[in-house]
Amino acid sequence: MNLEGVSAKLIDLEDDSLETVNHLFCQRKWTDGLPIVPPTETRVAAMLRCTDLPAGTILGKMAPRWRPCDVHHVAINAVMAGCRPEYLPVVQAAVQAMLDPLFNLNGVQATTNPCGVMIVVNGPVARELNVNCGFNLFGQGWQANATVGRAIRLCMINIGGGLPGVGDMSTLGNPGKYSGCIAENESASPWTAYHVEKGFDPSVSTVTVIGTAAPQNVIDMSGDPTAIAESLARAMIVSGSNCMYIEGEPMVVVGPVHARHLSRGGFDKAALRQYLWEHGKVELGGLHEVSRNIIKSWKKRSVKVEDGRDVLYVTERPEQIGIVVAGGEGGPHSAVLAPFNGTHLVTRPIARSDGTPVHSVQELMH
Amino acid sequence: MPTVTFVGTPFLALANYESRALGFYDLSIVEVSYPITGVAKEEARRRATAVFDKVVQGLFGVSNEAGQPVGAGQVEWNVR
Repeated sequence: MNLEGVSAKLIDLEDDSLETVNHLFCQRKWTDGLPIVPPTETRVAAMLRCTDLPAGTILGKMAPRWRPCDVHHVAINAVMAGCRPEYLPVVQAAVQAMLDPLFNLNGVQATTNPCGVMIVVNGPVARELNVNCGFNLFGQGWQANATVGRAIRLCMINIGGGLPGVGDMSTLGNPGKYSGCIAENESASPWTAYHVEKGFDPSVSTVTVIGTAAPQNVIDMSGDPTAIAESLARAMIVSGSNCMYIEGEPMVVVGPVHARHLSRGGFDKAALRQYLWEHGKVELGGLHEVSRNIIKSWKKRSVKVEDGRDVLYVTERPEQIGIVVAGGEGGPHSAVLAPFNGTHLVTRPIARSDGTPVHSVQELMH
Repeated sequence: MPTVTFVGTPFLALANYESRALGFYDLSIVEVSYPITGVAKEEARRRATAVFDKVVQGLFGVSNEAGQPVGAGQVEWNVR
């Protein structure tokens, strides 16, 4: 692999033990605090064999340090995170999605909000790479989920400069900032897959990035379609949620059990989205005056006057609410991903450098 | 155009980090106590009054007593 022209520097160490390498990387704040896989030339070259972009290709500039984000840098961080080389196309697409100004990465990185990045993978590549879409998908236990999400975080640290207290001003953070990556459970879903709703062919694979606080679980044991929809709507706009204060595009992760009940009750994604929007609202009159005024200032596009009363909606328009079906079978749980201010749900296809989508990551290997 | 940027105290390092990354080495930064959101009008006025002279200095390029330009250079640049 010809790495000529790339901007990363090689470091020669007399002692290249795992302990020494990790000590050095921790000292230089090049990690998330966990041990990394040393990004040797050999490992990085193997990673770069899974993209058709030449090393040295700049994907954009990453906030808040606004460094040029070279695909080579992305590959290095993917190695460090423990990614298998075939995961690189997902990591690369997620980075490209984050660099879309609609995502507001500068805000996501530097805010005092606890938000991090959640990735949703759709399409055949999710199955090919065995990205967990079932039991415990936000949790531990799956190599693709754990390492792809971690690679994104390491890129945000090492390329974007998201160092706590300097480039990352999150007051509290959340454990999902170590890693956040799931897939939609398309086989368990009664509805159209998220990427197909967005206009992609089902054979195309996509990555969607969400600037979000930690997943907020929504339990509803009723088994009643309307009751479940009501629980989801109310959960979207509760005291303390990002959705109460700031404009953004939330993602609702509907568990398979809830999805089946909702489908049985006649809901498809469009109908559920409309219901969530119509019922995910709160009258501001019941809030403290100071809070009410802040909300009316920060989230004014979503405040509507109805019968002389100020009513706060979860979003300005229904179509701003994303819905995926994901999770294990057997439990009456769903989740709300409450977004950061000004962040949009951004979806990118996993594709060749000329934009042609691939149906398998094997097509990118060389 | 003469410009002054208000930065809350905890964000000074970030302001330096980002302004330099974007090439604004001489950006005039005026530190204000934080948080701002939700403070009463009287408190906001008090804080504004407290930094008024620095804003004028920043806008008109006046140096401080030590002869240094008012701006980002006053803040420690101590991140990698």
